[in-house]
Amino acid sequence: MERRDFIKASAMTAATAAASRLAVAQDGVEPSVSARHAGDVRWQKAPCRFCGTGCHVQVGVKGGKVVAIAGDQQAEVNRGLLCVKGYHVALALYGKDRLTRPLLRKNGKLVPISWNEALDVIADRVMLDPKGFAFYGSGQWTIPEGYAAQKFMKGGLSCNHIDPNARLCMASAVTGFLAVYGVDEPAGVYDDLDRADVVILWGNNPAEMHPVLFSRIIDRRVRGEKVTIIDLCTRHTRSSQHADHVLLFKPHTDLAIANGIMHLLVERGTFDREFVQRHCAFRGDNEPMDLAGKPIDFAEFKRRLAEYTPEKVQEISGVSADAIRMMADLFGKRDVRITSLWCMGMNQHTRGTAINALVHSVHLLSGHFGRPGDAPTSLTGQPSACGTAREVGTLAHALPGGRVVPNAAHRAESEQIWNVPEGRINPKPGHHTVLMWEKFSTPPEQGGDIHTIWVQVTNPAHSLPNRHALVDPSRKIPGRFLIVSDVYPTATTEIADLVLPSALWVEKNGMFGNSERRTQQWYRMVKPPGEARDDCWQIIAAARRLFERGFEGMKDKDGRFLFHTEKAGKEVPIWDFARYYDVNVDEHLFEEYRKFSTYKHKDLAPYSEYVKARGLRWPVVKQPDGSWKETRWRFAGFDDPYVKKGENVEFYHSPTNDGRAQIWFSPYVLPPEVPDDKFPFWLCTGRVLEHWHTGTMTMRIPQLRSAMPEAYVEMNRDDARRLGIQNGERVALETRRGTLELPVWIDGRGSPPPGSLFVPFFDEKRLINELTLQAHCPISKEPDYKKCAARVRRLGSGGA
Amino acid sequence: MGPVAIAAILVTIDPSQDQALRAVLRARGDLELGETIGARIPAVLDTGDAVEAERALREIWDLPGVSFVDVVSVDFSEASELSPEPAPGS
Ligand code: SF4
Repeated sequence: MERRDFIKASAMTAATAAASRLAVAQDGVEPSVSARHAGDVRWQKAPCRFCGTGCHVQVGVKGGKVVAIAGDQQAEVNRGLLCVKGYHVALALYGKDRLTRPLLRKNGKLVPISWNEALDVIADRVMLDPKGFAFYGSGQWTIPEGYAAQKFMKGGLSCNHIDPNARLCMASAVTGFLAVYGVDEPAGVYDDLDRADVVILWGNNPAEMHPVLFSRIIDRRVRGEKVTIIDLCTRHTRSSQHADHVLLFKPHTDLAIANGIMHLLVERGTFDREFVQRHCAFRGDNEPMDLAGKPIDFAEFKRRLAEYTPEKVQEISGVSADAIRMMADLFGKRDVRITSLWCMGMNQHTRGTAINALVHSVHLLSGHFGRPGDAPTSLTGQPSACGTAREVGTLAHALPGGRVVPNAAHRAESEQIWNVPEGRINPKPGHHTVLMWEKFSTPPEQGGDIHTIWVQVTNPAHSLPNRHALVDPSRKIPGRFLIVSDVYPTATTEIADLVLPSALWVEKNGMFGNSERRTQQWYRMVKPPGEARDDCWQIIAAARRLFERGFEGMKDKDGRFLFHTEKAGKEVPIWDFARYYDVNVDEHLFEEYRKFSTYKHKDLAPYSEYVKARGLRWPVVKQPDGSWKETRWRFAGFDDPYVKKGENVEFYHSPTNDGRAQIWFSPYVLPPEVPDDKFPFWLCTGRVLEHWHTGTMTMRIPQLRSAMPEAYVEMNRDDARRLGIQNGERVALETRRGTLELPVWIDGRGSPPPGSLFVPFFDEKRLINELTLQAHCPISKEPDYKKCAARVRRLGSGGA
Repeated sequence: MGPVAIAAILVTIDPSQDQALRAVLRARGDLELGETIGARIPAVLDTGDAVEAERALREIWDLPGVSFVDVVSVDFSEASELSPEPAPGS
């Protein structure tokens, strides 16, 4: 048999095995060797590099290269399946234009320099003024990378100007969880999707954005189970095609819909009185809005909801009064299990915290909480937005494990774990993302207090809103310096002063934390190209350079290096890349980090447990027999070991310290910009199936690039006809902030209703974020990329 | 030629359209079909051209009666090279 035929036969065996397994809903077993091709390939597990679903892949390596990818059948998340991005993940390593040498801008041009010189440049920038040095990271940082950056900044430089790009995607989810439960991250898990009778998509398109999760729902239908899907959306998507109810709402009016459901539950008395009495309290907004809000009683809650009658909600949202009643009917039934899913639609919202809190509140008020299948679950876009940004706490106000910098006890605990002198951690929160870039783009004499930003694993010149205001001015201010670590040239490396080549995915050890509290681990499998090096090493090496220059912050209390690492009682010089893998630096950092994890009951197991598992969901608690057990349903007495014995549900991090979660009322208010005569369309931005975020990896994969080579503007057929626009015609899309030329796509992948437009944001040649609003949620500081006013002009015409 | 991948896929279908869909899928030429199990057809996708692979997946997904396409594995080892072209603009 020829090798090619053998591979094809193996592929058919694998596909047939997967179909058989799914048909009887069995958990995965290790695929047989015969289901894989020739035995000269070495297989190891890793989580997928892309989205927050956190699928596990089996990575096949031969001759120092990744040659095959298979869905990991032992992984509960994906049960052997992958989406189209996941199965191309290996090709992201092999783009021809990988960055392989440090580059420094000299006389306007980026020229190669040595790592030694690059580290000196970084140290010089810190020494200039550590308080003006900022770090901008990512939910794609591995957990040890984020932890190292956090320690470098807050424990080393005494500077809190560190924030992740997760501020642009998850911050409202975080503040929503904090406002309601007093602690971040979902109580539910993906298993809820196997048990729910009803799945509500709140402005979420999982068929394209979290395809493997959506496939899990479809799988149940295939087996004959009834699962009702309700798609609350502002445009038809691939998810809508599977929905039993597609409820199109006017942008921003999801607040009114949630209030409308709660109004009917209260009015009809179909809310879960017992659950509410035992486990909940009521809260309303303060003026100005803040995370704490103010307590209100049930009568006041009812009074505030009173105006949200089905008819009124229909008027505001465009969703029929009958549909609102249908949703309230469902929530009013105890014997139906309901899971809500959401992602950027609710987070990138100028009332992001409020709508997050309201959807949790609908579930709490109706008692659809704490049973398998009954869960309000926010999904993440990045593979470690939860693990790194939220749990490690790489946010400007946070410390690891749910601590915050303004809290003296939290600082003291962190200083103790880091073994740094008392008072090392600055009590003042640093600049959040938008403010950090604003300050970087403001001259010092006008209050701009950030002179340098080090960017890792993200592409802010592409992904920040309104780049003209937040990024471009910095490039003209003398003394501003931009350091960028990345794997490929991007819109951000293009304007950087120092570019550092990074290792990617299985070119380094790593750990991620996915959307369902699952911490995952993998080992390095192949070497990075040229002089590309681990982001974590880059941080440690820069810290060491500062230590060698006598910078006090890089010493611990005993005068040792801040990242002191020992093996057999001897220090290992991990700052020397040739020695970096003499020890497992990830393991050392993780073992230190996990000491932080018990404070908010997000307990992590030892590193070695994650080596064995396909991820474990925290809290992971040691059992009497010495084994470690993960927790699926948090706050639920039958599964969460931290719930008091005898309680069904306990919110043990309640914001009011009484075991109660908060049910919020937040009114619907108008968004900051609405269509008008001059700009008559709503403009929404987002992702597409083929491309991951700013496309720096997926645009290097020919299959994905050719499938979706450039951005477009989706337009309703009637609008196009009215404006005389043909499918595929290039038009000028304009907002108050800029203009972009794009081809029009009518009845394409998604289809917006009349008066709405959609543009994906992956295309670096067509930066849609130059047109979006900078306005953000007052609490989470997360910008709203989902709605602003726009117009479309035929090229060569006056406009419409 | 760019990287050629052989992919194991699962096509989830409306079972009432099994026969009709199998005929359509078989006619493609780039797909080898296994026996339908429940509502899923296991298949091997082998396209002669790298760009075709992705297009083929989309075409399959867009067929009436196909509700989902999952990927089980992909093998790049038959690829003439593993280095795709740089992204435009880079
Ligand atoms: S769903 Fe997300 S994590 Fe899973 S394979 Fe696709 S991109 Fe990767």
